[in-house]
Amino acid sequence: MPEVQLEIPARPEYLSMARQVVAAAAALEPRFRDERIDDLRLAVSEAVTNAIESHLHAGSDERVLIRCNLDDDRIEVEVSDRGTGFDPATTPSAPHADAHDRLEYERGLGIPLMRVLTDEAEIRSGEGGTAVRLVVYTPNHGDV
Amino acid sequence: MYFHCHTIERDGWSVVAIVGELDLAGVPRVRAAVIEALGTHRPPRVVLDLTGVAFIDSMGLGVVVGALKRVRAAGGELQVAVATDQVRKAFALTRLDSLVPLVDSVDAAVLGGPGGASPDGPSGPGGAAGA
Repeated sequence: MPEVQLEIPARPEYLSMARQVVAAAAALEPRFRDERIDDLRLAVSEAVTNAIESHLHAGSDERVLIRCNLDDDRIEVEVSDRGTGFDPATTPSAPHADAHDRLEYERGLGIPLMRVLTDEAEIRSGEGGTAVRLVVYTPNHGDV
Repeated sequence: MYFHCHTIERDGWSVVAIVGELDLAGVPRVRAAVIEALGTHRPPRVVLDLTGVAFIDSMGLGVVVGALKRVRAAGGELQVAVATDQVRKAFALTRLDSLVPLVDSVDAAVLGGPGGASPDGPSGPGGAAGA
């Protein structure tokens, strides 16, 4: 399983580089449609944004690690930070667009987007940091 | 990454035009441009021109939500021009296309043409469907 690793400074201007590298890695597999690569690009942006913000809030100058593994039937991306961690189960999401107080929320869409855009989205978080694993399958995944 | 944000005045509207990829890095500049535009017209009439935005994520969507809140709090009107598939999909996935008045172009926003709503006409979630 070929792996691509990227370490970026935890600064917002490096977000686009992370997206570009992951999208380029996914494009090596011709079975991924452009639309699916775009989905992964957005999901990765959400994960890396959270990682960068986590380091900024903690005052950490450590780097954020992005690893891509391209396999026969999937691409797997893991975004790791050394921030203070969070509990994904209790992290508030933005309310539904019809909610009377929807305009009060500028945040809270990142984790829901990661979950809807990928085939698997796993968040492991603790005091030592957070690792987000995002998986997108090739179209014929599961075929016999 | 190329990113540009500037404001022009057109037909009684302040048009905040954004070009590039709108993520955490660009949010402060867009927010500042919107806040500045709030003071140009009474009540504010603001178009966020995202037709040059090739990519938007939740932070970019968040600044649009914040703009809508600020403009409405000032009794004004906001329209958002979108043209690229990725941006349309991001609004649709988050259901924000039912909250934010989307139009197809800046022309549609300021002139009330196809895909837009006249600034003098009825506004609201159903009045500016451009998707």
